[in-house]
Amino acid sequence: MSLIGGNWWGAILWSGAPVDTYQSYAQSISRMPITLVQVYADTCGRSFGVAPCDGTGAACYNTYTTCKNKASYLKTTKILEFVTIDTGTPFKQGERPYLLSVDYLPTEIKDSLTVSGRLKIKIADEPDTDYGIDPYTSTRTLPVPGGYWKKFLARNPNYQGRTVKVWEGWHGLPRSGYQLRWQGTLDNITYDKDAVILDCVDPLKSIKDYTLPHKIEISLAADITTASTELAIRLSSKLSTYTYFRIADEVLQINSYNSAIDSVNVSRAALNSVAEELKVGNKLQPIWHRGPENPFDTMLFISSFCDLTASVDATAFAAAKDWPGDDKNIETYISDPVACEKLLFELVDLTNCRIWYDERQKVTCKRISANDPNRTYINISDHANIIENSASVNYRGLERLSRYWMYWGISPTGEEDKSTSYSYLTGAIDADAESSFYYDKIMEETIYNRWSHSSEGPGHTDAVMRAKAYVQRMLFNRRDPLPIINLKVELKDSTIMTGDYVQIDTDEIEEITGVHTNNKYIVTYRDVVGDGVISLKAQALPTRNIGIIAPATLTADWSAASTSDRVYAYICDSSGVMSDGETAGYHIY
Amino acid sequence: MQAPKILYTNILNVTTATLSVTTAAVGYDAQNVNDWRTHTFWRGSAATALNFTLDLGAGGDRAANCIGICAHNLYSANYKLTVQNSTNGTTWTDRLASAQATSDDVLMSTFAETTARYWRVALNTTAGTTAAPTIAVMALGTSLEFPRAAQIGASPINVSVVSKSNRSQTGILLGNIVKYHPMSLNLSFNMLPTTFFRSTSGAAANYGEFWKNHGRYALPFFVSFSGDTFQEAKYLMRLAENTEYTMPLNDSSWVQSLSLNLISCQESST
Repeated sequence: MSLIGGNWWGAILWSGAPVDTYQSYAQSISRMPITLVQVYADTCGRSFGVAPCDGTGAACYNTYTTCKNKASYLKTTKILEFVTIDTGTPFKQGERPYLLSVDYLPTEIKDSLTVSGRLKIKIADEPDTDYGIDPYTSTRTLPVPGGYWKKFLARNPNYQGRTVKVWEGWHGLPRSGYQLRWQGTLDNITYDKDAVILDCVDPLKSIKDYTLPHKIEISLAADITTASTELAIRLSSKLSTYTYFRIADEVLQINSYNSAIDSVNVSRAALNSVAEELKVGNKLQPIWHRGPENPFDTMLFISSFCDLTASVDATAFAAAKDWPGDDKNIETYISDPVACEKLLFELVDLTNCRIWYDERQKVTCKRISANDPNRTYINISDHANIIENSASVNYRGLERLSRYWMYWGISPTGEEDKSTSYSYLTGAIDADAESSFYYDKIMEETIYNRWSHSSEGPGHTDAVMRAKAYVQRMLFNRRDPLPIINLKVELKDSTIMTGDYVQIDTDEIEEITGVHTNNKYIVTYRDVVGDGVISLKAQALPTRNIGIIAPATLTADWSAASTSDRVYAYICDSSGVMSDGETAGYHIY
Repeated sequence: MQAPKILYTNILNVTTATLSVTTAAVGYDAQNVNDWRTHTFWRGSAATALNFTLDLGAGGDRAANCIGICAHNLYSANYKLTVQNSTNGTTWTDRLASAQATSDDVLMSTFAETTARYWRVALNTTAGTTAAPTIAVMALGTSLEFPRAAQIGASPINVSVVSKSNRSQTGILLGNIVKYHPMSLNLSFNMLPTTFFRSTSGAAANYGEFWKNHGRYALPFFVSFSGDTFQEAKYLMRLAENTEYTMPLNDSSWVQSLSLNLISCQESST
């Protein structure tokens, strides 16, 4: 009941000043958070018994299952809305205050875009009068009996795949100010103790189904000699886009395809392979060839191939591509189907980036480096942000490296995880790190890089130099462990998102002198854990700055330079550190 | 101090009656005011004068002396409210004179009891009317007035806050999450006549009938703490869990005591 009317909330929140944005409510010392869940249900766009609907008798419920004239059914969408059960009806527009909880999935920067869990939304099954649901309540016997969800399930058994959106806002905030926190599709509904649980999946779930090249099952119908150039094969439209095919260990290049007679004209022994006598039953496998092109363009191609274009933050990818830029063009031939997600993350590693599915429901991208003149940091401190007793640190001592090896130059028919498939091996070793003064042991990692190739001639030298630069960069970034701080913040800091750069002033990590640190991190994990608390993980940025040429106006004296000036490269002393004797020097990227 | 009143009977939802409204917005039917739910609304189709008209049918005449309205915008949207009745559905007599609400809080007004087949709740615009009228709960019926005021010490308002606060590592308050405001009203009476519990003078006029037909189902009802003495102390409440119906006798004419614990939740308006 509205005991206290008008702008009661507003008066508490912001005496005098208007309060009408999500952020201004978040910053207020007291506020009432409201979650809004929208379920996009099917409904009929027609009226019962009104032409062209010729339904008679008891009215339907404007759903397909209850339709009495399916030929005239006009599928449209009805948005069902539910808000937090404790907080009344903020819009008074038909929303049901039945929402018990939303079990969010965390957003996380990791080696996969998809999450194994599902968003779970728990909604009470309250006795409901069909208000705003059944357009024909005036024709029913009143009061209408039954629970909201039991009736929904009876009338809408085909709910799978329908859109679900979760919004966050505050009591008093206009609907337009609510922020979309999650969007996906409804996958299952279970009923439990007078409530339903909606299992929802995100739109990236389907990425697991994509491989490059396509998985196919085509075999030769007849033996062919080493000289044969005509193959009787039927190609589907998606396969006819491939230039190369592999049969046994031979690569065949397609010159033309005659769909009328299902005949393929090929050049034999392509890509330095050897023509073979091919036998009936030999499997034919398309080879995905891409490049040479910028790796970010390849990432976007893979995203598009996986139908993710609408979910990709193209601006973020463009920014990562542009700075610091100069990524070597890549090229690949892949003959065994590989999960697209795996290919995507190989490129992410090669470009020293991170990609993740963020809170805005976008696949976004950031380049990881210690310093970047375009970067801003959000301040987090023990005093003003970190909830008491919520912080812990993982120093990640076991995750540092002293050696980094990369195999590259794979054969188009080679197996990806066998070193013999590759033509080159390039490594970087940090002998200092392996000495008894540091690790006192070898800590190494080996990767297989299918994206780097070389050819004889001037390009080879460049390719080798690029490979060296890459392995040195990888070792450079992992020479020292990068601690991860786990902490919790209050809702006022709810705008801190995964991928944001933060500067954390905390006594959880101390300097040599015992004073607390104020270091720079990137948020790698964010989870809404309830009661106004958000759990974050932040990984320290590399401590070694990359050398960025400074503008002419900057002071030349590092010791006199401001923090913002020090984003740019300065000359170190003869021992490789800066004039304070501690700070690591700048490195050519 | 005036005695408390409750309004739990509602002739608007008599099953044989017809409740119609001049025009309702799509999806906001007039019947939504009848379900005691503060989250289901009737809304007018436009910012114009509108009437709720009730036809109780031939021979179905009913009495009323009280109207209760909850979760509405009649004040902020600038509407005047009038309660009328009629014997023929054509000629109407004002029973509650036209007046404008003084807030969007619970409205509970009494008037001289009359009986009629036709009842009408008229919402008339004023110069300041800007929005369509909205009402979540409306009841029209005969109120039950307690024989005397609640005992000394009774509070006309009792609201608390359910919230969660978070402090920083250094102990400062980072923020409060307010969830809701539980509200209660505790009314105690001494020495009530037994006729208040078992009178046969009218269905709504005794506590026993209230308990039997409404209270024991934990259905909401309107309550006025002390009439207009505490104008703001009018609520839509229900009996708390585990409420018992007892009648501890002093003698055959008097009940020693009655204690009521009413609960609700204070909504913040938007």
